[in-house]
Amino acid sequence: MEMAAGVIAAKARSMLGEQLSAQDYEELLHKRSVAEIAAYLKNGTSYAHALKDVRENNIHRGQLEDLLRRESFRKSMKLYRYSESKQQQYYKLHMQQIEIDLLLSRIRVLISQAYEDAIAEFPLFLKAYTSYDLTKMGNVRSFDELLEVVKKTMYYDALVPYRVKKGQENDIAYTDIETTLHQKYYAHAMDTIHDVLKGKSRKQCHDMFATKAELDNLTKIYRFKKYFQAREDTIRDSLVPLYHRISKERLEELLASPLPLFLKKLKEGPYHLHLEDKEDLYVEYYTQAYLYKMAKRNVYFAQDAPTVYSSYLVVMQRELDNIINIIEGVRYQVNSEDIASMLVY
Amino acid sequence: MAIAKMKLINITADNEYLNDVLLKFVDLDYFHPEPASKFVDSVHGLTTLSEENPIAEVLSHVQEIVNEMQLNLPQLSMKSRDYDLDKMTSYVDGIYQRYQDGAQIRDDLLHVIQENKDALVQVRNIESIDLNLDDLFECEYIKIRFGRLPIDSVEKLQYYRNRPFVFKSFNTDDTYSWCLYITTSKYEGDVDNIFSSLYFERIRIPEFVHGTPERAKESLQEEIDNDYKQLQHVKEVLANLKKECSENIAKIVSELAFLNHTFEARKYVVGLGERFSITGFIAEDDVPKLKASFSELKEVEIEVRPAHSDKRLSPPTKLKNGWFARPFSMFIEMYGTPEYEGFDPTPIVAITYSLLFGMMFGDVGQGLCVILVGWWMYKYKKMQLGDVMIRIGIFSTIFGFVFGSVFGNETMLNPLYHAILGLTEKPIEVMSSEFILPLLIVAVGIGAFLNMFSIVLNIITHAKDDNKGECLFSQNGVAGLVFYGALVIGAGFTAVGISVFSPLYILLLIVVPLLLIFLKEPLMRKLDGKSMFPEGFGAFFMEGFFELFEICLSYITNTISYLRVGGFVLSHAGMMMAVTMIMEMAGGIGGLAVGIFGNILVMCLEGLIVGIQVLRLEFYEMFSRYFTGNGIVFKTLND
Repeated sequence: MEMAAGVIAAKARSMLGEQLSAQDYEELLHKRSVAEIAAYLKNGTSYAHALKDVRENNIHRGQLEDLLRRESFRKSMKLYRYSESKQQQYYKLHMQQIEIDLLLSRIRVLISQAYEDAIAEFPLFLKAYTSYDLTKMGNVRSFDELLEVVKKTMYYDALVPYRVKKGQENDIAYTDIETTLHQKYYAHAMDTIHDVLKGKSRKQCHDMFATKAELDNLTKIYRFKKYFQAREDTIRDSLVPLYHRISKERLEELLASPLPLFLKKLKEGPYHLHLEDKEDLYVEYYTQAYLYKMAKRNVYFAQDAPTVYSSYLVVMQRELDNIINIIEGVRYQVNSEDIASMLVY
Repeated sequence: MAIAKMKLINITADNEYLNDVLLKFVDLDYFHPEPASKFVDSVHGLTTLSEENPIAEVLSHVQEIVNEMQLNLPQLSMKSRDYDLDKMTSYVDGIYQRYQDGAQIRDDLLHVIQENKDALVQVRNIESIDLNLDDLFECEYIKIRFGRLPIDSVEKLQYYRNRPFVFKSFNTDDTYSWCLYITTSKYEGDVDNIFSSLYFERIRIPEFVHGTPERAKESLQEEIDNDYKQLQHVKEVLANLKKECSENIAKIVSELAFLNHTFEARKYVVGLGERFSITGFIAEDDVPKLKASFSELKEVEIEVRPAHSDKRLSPPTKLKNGWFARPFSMFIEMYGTPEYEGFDPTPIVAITYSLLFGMMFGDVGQGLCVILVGWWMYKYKKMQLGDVMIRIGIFSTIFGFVFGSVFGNETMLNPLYHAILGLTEKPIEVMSSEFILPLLIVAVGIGAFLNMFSIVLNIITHAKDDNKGECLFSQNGVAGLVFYGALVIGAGFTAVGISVFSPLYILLLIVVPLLLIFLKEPLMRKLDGKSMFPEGFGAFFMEGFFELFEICLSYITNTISYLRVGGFVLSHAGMMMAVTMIMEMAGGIGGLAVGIFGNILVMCLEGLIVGIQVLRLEFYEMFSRYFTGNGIVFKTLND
């Protein structure tokens, strides 16, 4: 194992040891305000450094979430800096995922025209790492301006077909753009994995990315069927065309199945999701739990740096999502049992 | 050194003496009680006396208060029967209320101090400006806001550059910029909203601050100093409160813990109408002690019966070992508890563990260090592992004399050998190439011996249980012993040039025992009068063949496993040789430092690895042959 692999694996495992424990989550679920949550995270968790200057009684929910996101990104950079130069294209995939999320966020702002509301949560701290000018992105007020910002990036060609004139932002085909960007991302990711990685590393990273894409597909199918009663072809067009554990034929069967049968097939399928029989099933819990367990196992047992890196990012993102769910749940006075049912750890 | 002989005890009395008995019962640290549910379920008319415990909740509430107040309570032992729960609760609640009042004032003061300090920072930022703060804040047409803004948000102000405000940053720390912004009265709301959305924390200059920034600074500093004095006073009041109530609360906590314990003990009490009984086991030697502790209570009857007199109960196992073997019981407990009628392997583990560890860690100086560290751990940290270390340290020292090594120095003991044995140098040179092969052969020989010894133990255990099948036909029974022993002895003789593998030898001592092992299950069924091959010979043969292959392989692997003993002897010597070489290269003070650090490193690293490896040999190579550990642990009420 090359030196970089050893460093990344060792650091990731060490940082994994600083994750919040079941007891931490139990304590957080019993907090009654954002201030109490901030105080808890500030004293004795790995977020203490990020929150050291914070006055718990004054902190706003959004600000706390921003600080936590920033800290998560900082942790990912701690590993990234040890990446091997010949595998840099692979390690950039994480940043590219973030860039796509930022693009989509900006497009939503264009549609809603809520420019000022979006400024507070805009992560300017990422500007040193993005392939486009993030500062200019924050000023974008039309689709043309957006295209201008991403002109020299891989996103330009994907966005051009969806161009709308200034003043017609309401007509932006957001869903289509989202689908196109995600499909492009996964195609690019698979190409990168194939070109840059070899052997077991390639196999495991392919497994991680393909599993994530497939689980996202299953979630989309469920949501389309449950809440929109969408047609098969509509759903099909929105999926990422990756067939990993579920073959194309089997996916077609799932698309054609009515919802109860779809859920039954999910339980029996290759992912063996232990879905509960309830009316408002939160299917993301099960898909994310699957991915989380897989990622955590990889952090401990994988020998190659790219797999450990990507797996650690999944685990870390999961922790961040858990904390944000708790913050928002407490802030909006959601029952602690309901919040707990969304946590994956 | 064995398993203590048990007696079944029944303590019976009238219900009016229940509390008296419970008071004594909870203190018995040699009594293994049986829960009442074991009897109540099987006999009509019996009841349990356990009721809802009113103490547990109160105790938990008091513990929470103790934790919140961060009280360091002295260790007391209260065992009073006369208690007033309401009085105790009311006292603790009263103290807590006083504490909360004080803590609230403290927190408020801290908050005010922080606000004033922030204001002071801001005032310092403008101290060079010669203007009156009253004039500044009484402006009718412009509004000024002091505060701090996250650094991220400062960058985002560029998105508001066409808005009516002026922003000025004074200084920044890691996360925040200390700043002010100025806007007009007309746009005050709008601009305040912008900054609020960017998480601006406003710092108000207190109303008592007047005049120039210089004067404001003085006022603020004076106010902060006063607040600190008040805070100090409040902290003293709280500290005095804690001091005043510590002893009383310690008494209450101790009393509640005792009462809680007594209530918990009721689950072992069986109700017999107007009488009650408590049943359990004690070691035979402790019977007089038990009778003596209840001697004052004449109305209490203590019945002593043989351990197996109640078929509903199985006697627990209490290990009784001498000074040398006693601490090794922690290894046995890790694996399992010996059965009451079974065999206590503690003395065997004590001897084999010490011998193997000693061999693999043989060094006089390091052995003595292990003894010292172990003694310290046992005496001051109450760690049983420390006690184990004393014993294995002794054997390490002994083997250190055998190998002639003192902190890695291989020549220091030569005068000793010359004086006692008349030799010019030590008899065994571990790193010599001539020693390696004999060392490995001896290691394998030790392995073979211990394997056979384990098999013999298994034979004895099963013979005592009258388990003929396991005793005779098992791979760890007579058949296995004959097979393995014949191979080992034959190999030994062959190594010295004597061939014993005649056809008769092979047939009688290898083939026949192997066949018996292969046919163990059918033969055991035959002994029980059942059909030998209920599923047909074919099915049995297929399964049995592969099992036999695995058994033969396990004999080989279990023997070769002991090569690690020789391996660690060599690695230990090799590591110390490396330390010695670096010491010599460094020379002087540096060499001494290297020697000390190197020895500490080897002791920690090798000690840990060797300890784990020997434990592995005990558990996997030896215990798997003769020890099952299905017994019941002897547990008193306090455990």
